[in-house]
Amino acid sequence: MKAQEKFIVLISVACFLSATLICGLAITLVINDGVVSIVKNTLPAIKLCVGAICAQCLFIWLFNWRCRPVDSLNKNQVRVSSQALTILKCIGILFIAPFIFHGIAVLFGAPFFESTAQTYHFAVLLSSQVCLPFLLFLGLDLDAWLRVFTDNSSECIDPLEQLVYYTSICSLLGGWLGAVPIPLDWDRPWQVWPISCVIGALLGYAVGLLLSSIVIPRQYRARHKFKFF
Amino acid sequence: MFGIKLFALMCITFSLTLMGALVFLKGFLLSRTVVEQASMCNEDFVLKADDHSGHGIKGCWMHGRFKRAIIIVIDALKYDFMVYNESLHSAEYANSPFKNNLKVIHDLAKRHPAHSLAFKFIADPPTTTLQRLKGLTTGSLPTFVDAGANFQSAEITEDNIIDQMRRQNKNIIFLGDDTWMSLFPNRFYKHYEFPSFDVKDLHTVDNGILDHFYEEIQRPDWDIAIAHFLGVDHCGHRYGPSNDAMRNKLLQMNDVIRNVTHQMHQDTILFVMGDHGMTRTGDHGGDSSDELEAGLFIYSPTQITSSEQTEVAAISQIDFVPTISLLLGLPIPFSNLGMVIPELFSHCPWWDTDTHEVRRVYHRVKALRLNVLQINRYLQAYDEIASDLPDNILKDLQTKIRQAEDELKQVVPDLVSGGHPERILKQFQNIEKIYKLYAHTAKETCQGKKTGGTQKVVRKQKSTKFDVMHFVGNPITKSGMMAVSICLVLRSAHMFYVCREEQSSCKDSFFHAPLSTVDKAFANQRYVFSLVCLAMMVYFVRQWLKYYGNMTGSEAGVITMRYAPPIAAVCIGLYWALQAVPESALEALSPWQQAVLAQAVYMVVILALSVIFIWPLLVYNHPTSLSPGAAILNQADLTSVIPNLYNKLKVQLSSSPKDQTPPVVYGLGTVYCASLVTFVSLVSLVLALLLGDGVAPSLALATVSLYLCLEMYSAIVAITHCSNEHGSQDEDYDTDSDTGPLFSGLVMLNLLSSTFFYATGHQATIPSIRFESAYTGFYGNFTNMILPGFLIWLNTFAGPVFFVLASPLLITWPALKGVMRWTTQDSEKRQQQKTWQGDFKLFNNGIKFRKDMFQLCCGIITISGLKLFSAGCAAALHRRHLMVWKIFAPRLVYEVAFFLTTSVCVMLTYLFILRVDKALNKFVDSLPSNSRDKRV
Repeated sequence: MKAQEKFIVLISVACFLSATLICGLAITLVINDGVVSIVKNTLPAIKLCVGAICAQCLFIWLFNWRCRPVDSLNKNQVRVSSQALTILKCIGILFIAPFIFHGIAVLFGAPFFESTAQTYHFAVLLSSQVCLPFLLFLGLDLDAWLRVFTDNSSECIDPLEQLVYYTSICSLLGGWLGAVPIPLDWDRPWQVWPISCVIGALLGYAVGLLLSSIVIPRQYRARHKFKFF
Repeated sequence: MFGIKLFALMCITFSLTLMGALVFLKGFLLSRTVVEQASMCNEDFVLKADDHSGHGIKGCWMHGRFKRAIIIVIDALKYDFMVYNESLHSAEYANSPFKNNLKVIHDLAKRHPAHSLAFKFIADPPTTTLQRLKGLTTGSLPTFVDAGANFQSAEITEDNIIDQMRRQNKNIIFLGDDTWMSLFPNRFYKHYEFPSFDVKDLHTVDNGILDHFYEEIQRPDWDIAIAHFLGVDHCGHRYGPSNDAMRNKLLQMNDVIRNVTHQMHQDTILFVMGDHGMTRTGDHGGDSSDELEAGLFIYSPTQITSSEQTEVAAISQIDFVPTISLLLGLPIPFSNLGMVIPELFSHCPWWDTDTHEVRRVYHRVKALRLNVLQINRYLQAYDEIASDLPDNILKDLQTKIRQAEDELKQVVPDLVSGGHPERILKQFQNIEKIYKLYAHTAKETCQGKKTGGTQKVVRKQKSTKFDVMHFVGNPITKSGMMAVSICLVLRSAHMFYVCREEQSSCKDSFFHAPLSTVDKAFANQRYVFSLVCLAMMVYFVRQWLKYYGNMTGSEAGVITMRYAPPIAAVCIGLYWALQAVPESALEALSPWQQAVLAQAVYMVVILALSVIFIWPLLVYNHPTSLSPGAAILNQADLTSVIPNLYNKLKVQLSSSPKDQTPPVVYGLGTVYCASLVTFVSLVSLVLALLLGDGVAPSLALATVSLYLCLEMYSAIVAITHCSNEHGSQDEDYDTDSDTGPLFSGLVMLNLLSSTFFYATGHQATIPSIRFESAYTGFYGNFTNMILPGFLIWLNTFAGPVFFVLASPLLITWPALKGVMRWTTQDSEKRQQQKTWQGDFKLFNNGIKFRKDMFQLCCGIITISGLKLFSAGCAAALHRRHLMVWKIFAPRLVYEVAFFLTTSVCVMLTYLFILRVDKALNKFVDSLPSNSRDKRV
């Protein structure tokens, strides 16, 4: 087995594992009655989610950094001097992104005057799901951003680009669909803004990971006649 | 002719769908079958022993207890108004104007505890006056469909208490609400009726009654006196319960009750009742507990009950009918389902009930027995005609009655022989229990509310809004700003949403309160805000027309558009200001003075619309003798130079170069759009007037969102064209490429119209109909109900009417290639704009244009038909649901109305476009011959 193929298989497995972990986290948050219950301690639970997402992203990034065969695509050759500036810019974007997501959430119907803290936490979660992978895996490469979002995802060769595409789209969609049960009168404690949206975003993210764990090897196989799957 | 043929096809489609919907509705909203039988004085189940001949007043089924009755109906007398709380502080009293005003009831209850009774008087929904009057006189339950008939009240044919009184030769005098006169024509011995429909008028009815009431009840020639006061209800509609006007009204009612009780004789009984309650905002019609809980107070100078009333019980409104029947010695009306009030039958002055507990119970049981036998006979008669009562319950009820009869037969001989008073008492109480249970079961069975789960889905409008958002949020990269602004507009439209009654924690925004009741500081701000929005609407349209050169020249249409909207807007503003004036000052004006401003708006808009229909073109044919350069120099207004230039170029290109100077036509590039925009903006002025000053700003939001969505849609159309055919898309209308209206556009329009149905302050429930909108511009009573019905209809469906009338813009707007298009295209493509024709190019291919219009109209009808279908499915699925009459049935009815509105508006706007096309045809014919070859 070539190094490249091994990498693809490993990243697919990593995606699958983290998808199950995040899915499990979402279910635990809803079912649990104790300290980590999202109904009782909404804000700490969302912080926990943000932490989990960040850890997962960093894990994939570290994995990518350590295990990726260098010969495949050597575009990430950046000089050290400009790296500090890049990191600063990334942090700036990460700082601004929650405010943008907050605004979008309000435009989509979140309360404006009440529960601002909850909305902001939700926005932080979304930016950790959407912006953080972008910055980690694609950097400040605007062309890559546009390529991922506007062009068809099938044209993305890089497995990480696909990963970013699926997770970000799915978590945004999940967060939006999470709002559907709020107006229903099932009288469940989680039918409160933003709990169901947080759960929806988490599940969406998990679905995105799952999808990419399926799509990345399939794409690679189609391209390289790779027979492992 | 092709257009007319398509129109006929559209009509057939529409009427087929509508017929299907109506058939479904007829089956779904089953109306109660009326049993046209009347109770007789001599019925076989009446025991002769009941008639205590020798004492009391001879009666039919039971001896009469009273000879005369005074019934005072105070419209919308909520139970809370009747309660007197002694511990209420004076400060609290000043803050809540509806509390502690009916002191006389409290005083009487304190002074003569055995002479008076007070009850919570629970109405059956719908809580509209006509329905309640039917219930209060026939004792039967209303049906859902009847609620719509409030404007066209018809005579009651069912057996009722009034007819029973007449049959026993009782003289009835009636004063007050003229609804009674339409329900019971030619039944009253004397009547003084007053118009009821004008809710702004607080005093005419009440003062009219009081002019005659005291005088009449002092005469000896009547047996029953009915007075129906409307002031409290009108005050609630106008100002809500928490206004000082309500205190004055209730204090007036207090005086009325006091004066009447002073004048009463010993043989008279007084009923003071409300026909329904009111919500916190003073409205009624639904089935929230605020609306259902009316008050009832019974008083007589003689003793009426054996023991003092310890707590206030809740009784049903239909219980009034059997009670008053037996008290006056009348037969109970045939289709009554109510149960006699037992407290009133435990005391009989001629029968020693004070000393014997057994006799008290026996007296009660006798009344209950007659009552139950009557209900039983009604159920049997009903079951023969209509078979929608469950058989097993009926059988169950029959056995109950037989059991009670048997027991009674055993007990009565014991009573006569006078043995074992405890055992007899127990048996009687047992029988009483059976009778009461019977009456309850019968009523519940007829209500049909015994089945169904408890899940309900509330706040439907949220999801619609999200759908719009989702649609708009399509990833079109360069229209992000536009998407954000559409989101912003739709989000701010949320301010105008009203709450459903189920949403207990929800509070209406202050846009929905009448201006005269809003806090002074906010009132001015709100008024100015509304004015600014209105002015923006007019100004925006005007600027748009000016920009495309449609406001040049002195054609009739142009002149109209120049002057009509500002005049109408000023009148609307003044009319709103007049509404804010306090009531006391308003009464100094005569009715026509209050209405004249609104009527002026109607006149101006109708005039303008007819002018637009006769001369629909907003174009100006510049005299051809001038050279093009001179034409530009003459035009001082720079904004119209652009269209001017474009049009000139267009005509130059189209004519062969060897010809003389081509005609210069202003505004030809937007000929269809301009006419439509004019049409819609004129209609929207009327809609703004009807919506009132509070909600009218949402129409401004609707205008903005329509503009933004159309721009966005044009961009999408342009992109679709670009990807479909590379390059030469400017000629696509000549080459028969198949590009009708896109499906996304139709969906967008439909979602917008349903979003703005909610955003104009409506909900798909019966109580949220804004009946007061019928009085904008009309004062006093209406001779027919078509006009007020139409106005209420327009108010309710303001959003859909606005968007659907504007629907042909989906075809004409992309041809304009407006702001969005310029930004999406590369700079080199701007070169092609020299040949800009605007939507005039649609004219080149008349058949294609008509086909597209037809496709558009049918698409809109189909989508709203699909919505109707889903609503029908939901209603059919939930027909046994607990909430069916509260959520699903109103929703279905609204959806039918929505479909009707949409279809009619689509057809109107289609005809208008045909008219514009015809006029354009004529106009092009009148141009010099060299430009004519452009036309197919």
